[in-house]
Amino acid sequence: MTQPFRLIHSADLHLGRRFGNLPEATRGRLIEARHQALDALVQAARATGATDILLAGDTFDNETPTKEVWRQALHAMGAAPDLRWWLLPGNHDSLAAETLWSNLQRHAPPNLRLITAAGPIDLVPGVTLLAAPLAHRRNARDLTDWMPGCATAEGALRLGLAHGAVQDFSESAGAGEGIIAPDRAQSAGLDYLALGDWHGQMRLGPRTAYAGTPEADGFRHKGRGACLAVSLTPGALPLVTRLETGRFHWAEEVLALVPDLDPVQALARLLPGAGAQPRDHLLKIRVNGRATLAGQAALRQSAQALGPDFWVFALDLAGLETQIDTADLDQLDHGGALRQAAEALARQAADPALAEAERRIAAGALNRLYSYLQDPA
Amino acid sequence: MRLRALTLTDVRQFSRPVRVAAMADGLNVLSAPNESGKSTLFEAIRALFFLPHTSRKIAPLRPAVGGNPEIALDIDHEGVAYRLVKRWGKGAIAEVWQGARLIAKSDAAEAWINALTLPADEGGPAGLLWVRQGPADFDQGSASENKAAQAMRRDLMSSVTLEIEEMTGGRRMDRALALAHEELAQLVTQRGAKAGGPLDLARREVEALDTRAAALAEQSLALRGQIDKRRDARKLLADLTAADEEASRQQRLIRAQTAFDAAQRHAQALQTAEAQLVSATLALTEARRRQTARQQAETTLSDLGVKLAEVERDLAKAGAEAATARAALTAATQALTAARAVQTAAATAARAALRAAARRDEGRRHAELSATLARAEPLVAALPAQRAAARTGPDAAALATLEAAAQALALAEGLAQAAAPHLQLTYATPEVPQARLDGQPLPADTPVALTARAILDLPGYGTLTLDPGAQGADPARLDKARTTLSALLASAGAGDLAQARSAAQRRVQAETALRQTDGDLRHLVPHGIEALRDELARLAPAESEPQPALDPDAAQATGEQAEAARHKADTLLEAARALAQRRDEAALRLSLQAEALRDKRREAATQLADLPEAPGLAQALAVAGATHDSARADAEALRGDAPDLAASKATLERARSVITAAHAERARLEAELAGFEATISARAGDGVDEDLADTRLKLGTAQNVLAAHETEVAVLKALIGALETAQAAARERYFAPVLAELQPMLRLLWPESELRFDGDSLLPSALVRGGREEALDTLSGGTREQIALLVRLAFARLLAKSGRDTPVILDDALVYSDDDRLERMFDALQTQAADLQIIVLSCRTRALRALGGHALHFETLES
Repeated sequence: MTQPFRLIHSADLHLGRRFGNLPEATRGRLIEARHQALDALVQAARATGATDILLAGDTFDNETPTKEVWRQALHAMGAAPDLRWWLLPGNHDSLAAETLWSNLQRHAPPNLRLITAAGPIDLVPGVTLLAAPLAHRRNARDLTDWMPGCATAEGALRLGLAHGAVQDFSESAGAGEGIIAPDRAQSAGLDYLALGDWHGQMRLGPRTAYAGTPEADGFRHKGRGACLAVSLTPGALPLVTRLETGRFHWAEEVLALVPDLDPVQALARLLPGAGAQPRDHLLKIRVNGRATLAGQAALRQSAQALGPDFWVFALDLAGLETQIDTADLDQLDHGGALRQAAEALARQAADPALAEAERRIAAGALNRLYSYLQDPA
Repeated sequence: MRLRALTLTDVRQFSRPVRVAAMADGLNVLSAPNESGKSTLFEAIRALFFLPHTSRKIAPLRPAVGGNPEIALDIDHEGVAYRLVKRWGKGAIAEVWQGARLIAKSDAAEAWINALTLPADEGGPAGLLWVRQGPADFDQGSASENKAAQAMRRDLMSSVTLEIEEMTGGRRMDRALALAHEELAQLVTQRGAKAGGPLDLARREVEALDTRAAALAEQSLALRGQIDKRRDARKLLADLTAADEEASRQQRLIRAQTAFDAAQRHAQALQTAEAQLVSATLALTEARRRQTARQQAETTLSDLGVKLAEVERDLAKAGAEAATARAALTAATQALTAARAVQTAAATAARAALRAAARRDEGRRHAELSATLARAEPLVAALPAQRAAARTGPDAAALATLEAAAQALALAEGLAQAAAPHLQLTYATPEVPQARLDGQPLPADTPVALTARAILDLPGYGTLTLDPGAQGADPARLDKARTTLSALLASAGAGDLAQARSAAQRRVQAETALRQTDGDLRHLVPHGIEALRDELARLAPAESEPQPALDPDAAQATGEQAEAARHKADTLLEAARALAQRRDEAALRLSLQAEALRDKRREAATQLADLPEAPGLAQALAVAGATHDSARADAEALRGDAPDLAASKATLERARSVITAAHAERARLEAELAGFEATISARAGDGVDEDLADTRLKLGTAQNVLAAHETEVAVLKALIGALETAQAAARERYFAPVLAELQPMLRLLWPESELRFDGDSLLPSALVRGGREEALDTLSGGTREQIALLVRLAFARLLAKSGRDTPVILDDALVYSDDDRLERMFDALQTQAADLQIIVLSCRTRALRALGGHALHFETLES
């Protein structure tokens, strides 16, 4: 073959995920965005001249998605008849979900191929796909171990498609089982091994990659979702290009504070730059280190002021220690009962004889007192 | 501020202007009866300070006859004299004059006056300290007044020391506490999470999500279980319905049936051979038994003959020994009979000796008793006469009674004589005829007692009947004494007392003789003479010629020897009898044994006679053995190549059951699969796993929210606790200056007492006396009004010390106090009045005389 074979490599759409850990009001757009990722993949394929879209597992979030989820997904795939979709069962939607796969089989549009058995598939003449579907949620062996022994036509491109971890960083429970050999592309003579399971993009050498999810779904992987546009030419290294497909930008930032650092400015540095659409951002700020009463009050006020701009904005102060300065206590009062109360709380917050939880409560009470007395009446 | 003079015009009962002037520093007293207008004065001052001149609520001030109330108050404020004037109703005014200069009017005047009573933080002194009539509660005004008073107290303390505000935290503390309480109240109440509050909702959501997650997990698990089961069922059904499996099951059945039929036939042949073998075995066994039986019978018969001969020998020997023993027994019997005869004779001789000795003793006794009877009989014969003499005449008691009766009569007679009138006649001459009293000559010049009616015969004059009547004498007593004596003498059989005494003496002598006779008789015949006679009658008199005496002891010795001989003969007889019995028994046993042996020998002979002869038995045994050997060989041959009938039957049944079970299993699996399909298709599209994953995420989030709310509660409680603890400590210091002022006055009334203050109202809450805390509302009216007054005085002194003089006006504030307590309250007032202006309004004119102070009076002015 003279023309490169172009495909879109994606995975882990997790259609049907409901984001129950986020506020109710935020979930609708996130759910819809996952469905829209199918269109984004279509756009990416057309933009790169790809004819096939390989979904390396976990297209669905679980084995029993609602009818609406899988029916609408099939419609979206069928709406692009110029492209072929290849669906590989992953651990979330393994072949053990017989009903799901029989439903998909029954209602699949003509351009959808369901990979329900391990073995070679001729995509086009000269291009063979070696796919390793997951029969069960957990698998006790490397499902790609048969690929080295699978013969294909001389000179044909050999593509691998699998779902799972190549090391113990799986997104899934039961990590450690069925680890895919990291050198599988080399041992099986694959021109490209398309993997799914890891929601962030990752290249494992020139011929192996995790595509990541096309629409991010958690704070673990910073940024928007993306897919990989892969161009394969026999005898050459694959040309792999990242194409951003996601709408929502997820980020979990660590804000490390020390008493001398202005927490408001430090927070500002973690915010998306000019031109960003905060409405499409989900930002979680995990604060640690130490801050004074004044610093904490300022940080909270700043967070309260900034929060509404973002689709999700969370300030996690659990790791922040309170630095109690005399100046802060002086701001509460120079003497009298208020000062005595503040000093009592400060002593409790620093008392090593108390449990960590009790010290934190005392520090919290002191911060609260500070905020009461700082707020204008 | 000091009040100096007050003028009222058309206020209540004062339709004509009145004035109370010359209010001085220190203690002022306006003492007047009820209805004289003291309370009007109090209300007027109050109205001047607190009732705007534009107010229409002036009914309490307006006099019954109508008019527009007007009040003018002269004061000194910061060293300057002012006059405050207010009039309500028509022509209402409010004015402030400084001398002749009007410095404010209307609203400006109201503001000027208000400033005098405003709290410190609003630019004015703390206001007047009012104490109203009655048992003054501290907060007894309207809510707004009470609130203002509380603010005043706080401000008062703030003015006393700048540290107070900082110590208690002041309004910032209040604000922080209020915010903390407010936020806490959103979450919890005293009883736990506030219903419908965030904490409550979070808990409920966690519970609901937890429940839902569990239910969904169960549904999911059930669905997965159904899918797994369906997969298993499908596989089982496919295996079951495969064509080769079905053919295999049928072939197994045919093979099993064929094998079973062959095994059954072989089993029947074997059964026949086995029966023949059993029969031959039985015949052989019987032949052997009969041969053995004949041999045993012959041996037994021989053994019995030998044994019988031995026993018969022993029997002959035993018979001889028995005869010898019986002869010895006869001899012993005869010896015993002889010994018994000797013993009987000895016993008879002994009894005769004893009877002779007894007869000699009886004769001696008879002689003794006869002599005694001879002595006793004369005494017995004399007894009746002696007893009669001893009963004749009065005894000692009767004589004593007679003596007493004679004395009583003598006494009665003496008394009669002494009590009777006496007649004494003196003759004119010795020649005159002698008078006669009751016929007896009446001697001259001799008093004669007249104890009864008497007739005095006066010769030449006639008779004079004299009747002494009953005066002086006791004739009944005299008569009774005489009658008694006469009766006693009659019963004693005596004519007079001398006879009676003689008879009594004779009776004593007779009694002595009788006792002597009785004594002799008791000695001779202690059991009576009749007993003596009876015993004598039972005894035989001594024989004139006694029989020769036998020696009883010798007779008894002879008897004992005879008894010993008889006993020995007894013993010998028993031994002979026992021996004879044993010998007889031995002979008898041997005789029985011989008889038994003879019976057995007869029986053995009979059995032997019933058996065939030995040669016949040997031939029959040989025939049976040959038959048995043949039958056994046949059976073993069949048994050796016999198929396993039970196994082939089991194989056949198993083959049949496999086919039956396969049909049943197929039906069951098809039904089960239909059920699985229906359930799975119904549940799979519900998104159970989606729901479960979502619910678990929600649960995690809800748990985080709940933990955050619980932390929030803990934080707020910690903050409130810290603030309240610090505030309580500060309040202790807060009240120190008040207590410093109050304590000396308090102890004028109650030594060693203390007053406790409420932290919120800043008012007294309890009195501690003698270590016992008493809530203020449990104290008597008098005590409460005294405490109220002292507290106000303490606050007033603090104000004065801070440069804000405030008059204290007391309107009959001590109506419940007794005189003693009143005296001590006066001491307190006098002590405080040095720095203050105190105005006392009271109707207790007399009681207040002791108070001292500057006296105020109502002064009526010309209109």
